[in-house]
Amino acid sequence: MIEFQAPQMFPALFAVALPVLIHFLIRAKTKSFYFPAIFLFKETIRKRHQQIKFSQLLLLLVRILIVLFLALASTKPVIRIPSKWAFLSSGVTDYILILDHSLSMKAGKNNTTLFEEMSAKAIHFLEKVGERDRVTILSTDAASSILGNHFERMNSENITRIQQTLKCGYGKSDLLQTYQRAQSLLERIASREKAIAVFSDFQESSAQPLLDHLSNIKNPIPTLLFFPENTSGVSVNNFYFEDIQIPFVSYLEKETVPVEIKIAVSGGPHSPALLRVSLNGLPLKEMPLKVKEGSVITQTLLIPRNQNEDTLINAVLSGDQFKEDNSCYGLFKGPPLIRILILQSADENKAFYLERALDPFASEDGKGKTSFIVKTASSLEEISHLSNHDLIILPDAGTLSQGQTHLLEEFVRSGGGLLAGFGLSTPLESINALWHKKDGAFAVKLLRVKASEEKPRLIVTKDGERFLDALSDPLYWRSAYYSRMLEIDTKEISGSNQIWIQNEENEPFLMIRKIGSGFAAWFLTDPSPQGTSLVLEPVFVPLIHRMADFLTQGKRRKIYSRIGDRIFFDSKEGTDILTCLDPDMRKTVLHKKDADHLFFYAEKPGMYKIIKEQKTVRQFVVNTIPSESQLTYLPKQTWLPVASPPLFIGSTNEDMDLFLKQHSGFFNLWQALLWMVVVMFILEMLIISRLRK
Amino acid sequence: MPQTKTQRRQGFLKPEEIIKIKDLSLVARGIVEGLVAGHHKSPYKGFSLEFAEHRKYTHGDEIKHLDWKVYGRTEKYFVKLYEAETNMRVYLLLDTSESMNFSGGFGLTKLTYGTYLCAALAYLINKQQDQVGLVTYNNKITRILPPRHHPDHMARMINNLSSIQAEGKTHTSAVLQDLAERIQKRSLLILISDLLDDPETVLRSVGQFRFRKHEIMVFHVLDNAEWIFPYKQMSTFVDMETHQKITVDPIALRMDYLRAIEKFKIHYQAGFSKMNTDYIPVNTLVPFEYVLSSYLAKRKKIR
Repeated sequence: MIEFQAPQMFPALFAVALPVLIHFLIRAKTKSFYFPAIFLFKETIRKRHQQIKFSQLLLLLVRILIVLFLALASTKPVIRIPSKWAFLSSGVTDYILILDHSLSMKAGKNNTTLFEEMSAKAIHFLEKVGERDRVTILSTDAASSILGNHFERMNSENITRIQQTLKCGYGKSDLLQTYQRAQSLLERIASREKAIAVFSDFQESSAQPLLDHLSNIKNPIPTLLFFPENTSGVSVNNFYFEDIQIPFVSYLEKETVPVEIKIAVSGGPHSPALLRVSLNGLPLKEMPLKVKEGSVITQTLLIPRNQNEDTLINAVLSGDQFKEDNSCYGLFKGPPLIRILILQSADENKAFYLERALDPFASEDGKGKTSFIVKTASSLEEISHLSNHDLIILPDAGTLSQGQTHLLEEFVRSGGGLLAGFGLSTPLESINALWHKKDGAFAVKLLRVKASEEKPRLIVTKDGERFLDALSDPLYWRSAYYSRMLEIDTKEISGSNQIWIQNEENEPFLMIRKIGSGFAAWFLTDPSPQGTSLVLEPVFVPLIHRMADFLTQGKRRKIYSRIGDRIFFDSKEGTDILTCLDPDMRKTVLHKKDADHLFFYAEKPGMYKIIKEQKTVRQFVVNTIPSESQLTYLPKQTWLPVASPPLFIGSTNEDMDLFLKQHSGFFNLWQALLWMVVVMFILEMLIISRLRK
Repeated sequence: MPQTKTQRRQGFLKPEEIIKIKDLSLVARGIVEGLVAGHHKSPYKGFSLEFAEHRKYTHGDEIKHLDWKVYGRTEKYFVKLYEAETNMRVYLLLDTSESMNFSGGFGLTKLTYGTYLCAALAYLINKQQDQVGLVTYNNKITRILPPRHHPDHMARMINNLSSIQAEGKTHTSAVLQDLAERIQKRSLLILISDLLDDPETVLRSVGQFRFRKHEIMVFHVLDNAEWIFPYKQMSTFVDMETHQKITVDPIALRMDYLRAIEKFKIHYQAGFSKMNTDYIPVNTLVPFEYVLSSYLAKRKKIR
């Protein structure tokens, strides 16, 4: 089975047309000469015409074959050889395996450290190398010592022994130094294929110099950079926004919005640093930090309310040991305009209280702040266009007419949010008529609501199991409880599922359901002759905040991006300009020759990597991608030439296999093709000399 | 010390440089004077004064020619004969067929080369007090100037040579046969042609000339491109006389051509040698002086 290691060179096959074209062009463009002694060669031509014609056709054929073989050789065809035929293998490779055992490799989850994970991968690697290949393992400590023997066929026993003797966490690894050692070791070896595999989390400060080194190296050795799964890889800045949150409660603030940012630092020196945050180019805050590997800086910033407009947040991390300032960008929209309608209940005071609770800074005329509008109305009939609102709160929906129910259903179906309260006396049929409860719904029991203004508490069980215990104090209610509720919402709410919060002691229960593209939630409250007003009790205000948060979440979707998000390219065919939406959502126009960013991007299962190094855009793609069709977001015409070094980046066994496939247990057909070119060239010379005789 | 050939060659102007001078008579004189200057002994010094040989006195001989010194020694009458008295008739035969209009480079055609050669020869022959005439031909005689030795005649020769145009096909043998009948007196014929004709008939015609006791010199003038066939690209060759076209790869053909042209030359060489005729293959790159030297050698032999 023939495989092509450089399939991108297939277009070179078109070059076979060149000799044919040249042949016919030469024939078409013959020069005319007047010549007096033609009679001298007339006879010769008559005699040798057939012979010459045959020789010329043969010459043409040979030239076509030369070009064809060269073009085919450029695609690097290889033939896989079964292990029993390993002696035929021409691709005998010396590998150097670099195993990172720095402190950061001690991290991990599910009781498995990154080092253990990488060691397992290294064993997989060793099991897959060819029969005749040789391996040397280097550690990443300061001495870059060789583990085991020099260039031997390593088996899993050896690697396990090495794993036992080598523990992670000893010192700081120097990937660049170890890589250079590997290079010098391999450079001493002639006439064998060479390859280097680096197993690391690339969280070291030396990761970036290594990448720089790989980009600038002149005689590259094929290199696999293998990192643990579920990591975002290496960023040139080692620094990015992991998350930007604008809590719903922040909507209640007047002038500023509290924004919670999480900035991740991967790599970088263990040293004090200064974090400077600016907003839309204006300095906002400076924070001294102790930066260490893998740290996540969480800060809550009070930023000016700037509703519905792009806000560009820029963080710069600088320090004495930093080569240069590290900068990252995040983009988010300010608090959106949320329009809430509270229908006037029987208890007007309580409605007013709720309104104030939702929008404490609303003006007397009811206009509220620009980003948060709360209106009150005494009945649905007063509202001409429900679609002008994002959320409708109905403290007592038990008395709705059929027409009103229909109006509300349409409102929710088209994306609106509805929070309604019913009295327990409301017949279940009426409720179901409005909410279309289905048999598949599951219940979440609300065990107790302690209606104390000082310490409200809510304990919720799902199918009898306690899974939510929150609301011990108003602050907790506002923050932790909400975020946990968010988990419930996003995981449990779907088209057909519902959450029931039931009351065992005639206390309110809650049901949430998706209708169309909107959500509706309702409480069942205490029976009351005047209808229910429990929803409007102060104790429920935070819960209503929470529900409002959930029901309006579609209006407040997060649009910031971070490392690991897709990079979108928009390139006009035939130009060298790439318009790139980089991981920080900056729209960047890059020229092939003038890119100044380095991105490392990995996505599973089909992953692609793009590395743009300083001054040159380079792309190391293809090898770990099962099919090009997966790269729908990277149009083929914008692909840049694959440049040296041949760098492979991966985190799965499949990626590793692809790398090994190119370097182990194969017969280099392209070498044979090059020999054929030499033979054809000699043949061509023979034919020409024969023609000249 | 006499100059070697190489030394002399270095002093000569190349034909492609000489043809830049349009005045044919000037060129002819220049070539001849240059040639003479290259020899230590002037070939024409005292042509009419220089002693040639003794002959026994016969009735009718003028007494003033008696060599009294010989009589004093031998008491026999001998008459002195001088160079001037061995006057020769020389015909310059110039092929003006279309094939002579070929030039492989430098713009020097075989006909131009032949014309300048004729002019130089005529000047030299005239200087030697011999009579020189001109015959131009293609498949027939196109013009003929009988041999004379007169200053005006030389001017006529130059005028005729200046107005020669290449035209028609070659038929050297027919022309020689025609000419053989016209020339009665024993003469020297200098044939300047590319001889791209049937060698057998040409040799036969020359043989007839020799049979009539005429002396013949043949300058086989071919362009350098005809001698070495330097073409490399795929080319269409058009015959200059028949206009027939042949597209060939010259590289594939070169060796065959060179063999054919060598065979062609050897055929002529052998044929002329048999009939004791001088055959001089000439490359148009060769300076005229060499050709004239060949003539002078021949002239010496005839005397």
